[in-house]
Amino acid sequence: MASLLENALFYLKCFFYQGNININNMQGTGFAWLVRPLLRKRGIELTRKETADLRGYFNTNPSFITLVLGIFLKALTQQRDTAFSVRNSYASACAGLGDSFFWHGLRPFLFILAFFLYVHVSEYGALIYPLVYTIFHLAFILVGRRIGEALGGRTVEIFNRFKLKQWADFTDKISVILVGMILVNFIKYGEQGTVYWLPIAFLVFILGFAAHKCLRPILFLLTIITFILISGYLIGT
Amino acid sequence: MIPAYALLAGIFAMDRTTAFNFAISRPFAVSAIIGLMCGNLEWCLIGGVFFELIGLMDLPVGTRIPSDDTFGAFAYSLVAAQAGTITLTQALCIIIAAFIIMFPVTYSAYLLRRINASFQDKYPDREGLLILIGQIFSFLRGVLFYGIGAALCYFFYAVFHTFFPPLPNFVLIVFLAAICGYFMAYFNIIIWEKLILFVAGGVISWLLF
Repeated sequence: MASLLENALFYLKCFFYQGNININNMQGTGFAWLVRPLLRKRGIELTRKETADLRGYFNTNPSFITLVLGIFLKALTQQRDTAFSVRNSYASACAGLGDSFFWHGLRPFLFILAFFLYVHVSEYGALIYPLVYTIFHLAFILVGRRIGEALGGRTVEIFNRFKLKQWADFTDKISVILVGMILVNFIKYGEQGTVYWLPIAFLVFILGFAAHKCLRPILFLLTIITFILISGYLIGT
Repeated sequence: MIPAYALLAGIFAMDRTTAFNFAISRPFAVSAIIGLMCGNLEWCLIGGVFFELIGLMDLPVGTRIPSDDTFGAFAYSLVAAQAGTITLTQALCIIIAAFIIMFPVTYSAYLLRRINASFQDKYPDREGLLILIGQIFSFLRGVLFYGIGAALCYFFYAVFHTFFPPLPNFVLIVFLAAICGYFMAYFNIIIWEKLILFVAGGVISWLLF
């Protein structure tokens, strides 16, 4: 029972460990906050230098925090002198993997899927985005420590086996199809609702695509809104 | 409703910077939640889509702090919900107002990191306390900056929207087509494959739905 409570508390803390995110050590304080009770329970005493290293610079994707923690704990018991360099190198690797999987793959895919479900199925379809994202986040948090402690440095083999980095390629393709479906749906059921709007929309689509070469995102979005408002103002007067 | 919005603002800000990471702070989700609460989901989501696209193109890679698209969607959705039935022109005016105020609000995230750093310098070995202080400041950042920002957004919208006449609805299609085209560049597929898949999606939608 006590162990169950300790585990529950540990996983609860994983959702708050970024509290002290700052310009000096990023998530270093949070990492130390998560690890200290585990070390105490295992009877591992840290030297003064190791304690300072524990609170030192640390930054990773929040979904991979338990995985990095598991790898660090295994390294600490097996090759203590390299444990902190192992932690930092896996933190960077997991940050890159998180950027690729969560930011570049899952987020755009879930956004477009949620928008598609909202348009075609139900207004509650929009909530699919946070719901599915949270399921993935929780899954990585819950299994991460066990995998990290069991496999240590070999963890990367598991990711290679699941081809986690390539998932983004697949979700990108599905997202492009869904974007086409959403846009055509707007034309079909919009006020204009005629087939003649399809080539016009396609032309504007190509222009938008070409604009990527010369305009930064924020400038592009501001330009297009300003253009629409000013032309509306001129037409109105 | 104001206490409920203030609470939501705090939770969204925490989810974005210091806690949970449940994607409830993503602009599309923020707009959906506020839209469902206020019963103006359709117009709330227009802004949600806009700010979500900003978020997808402006990623938090490494230690970088991206534009606070959560605030943009929050302020837009609140103003759109309060304004009731709005026109496309009004929606675009609210977007511009939220977009301008988004930059000082983004700066507040830098401020939060600096405050956290100063506490960390003072009490380096009291991790629990530092985490608690950080969470409180993060929540307050949401309540104060998002709340004041949304009020300013409403003020700018009320001033600006009277200058512009109502736009026809086909402008929404042009707007959407242009940003869809721009957004395509962010998918990691070769250009011809992208175009074929996009057209295939369009044909499927035209024929089946």
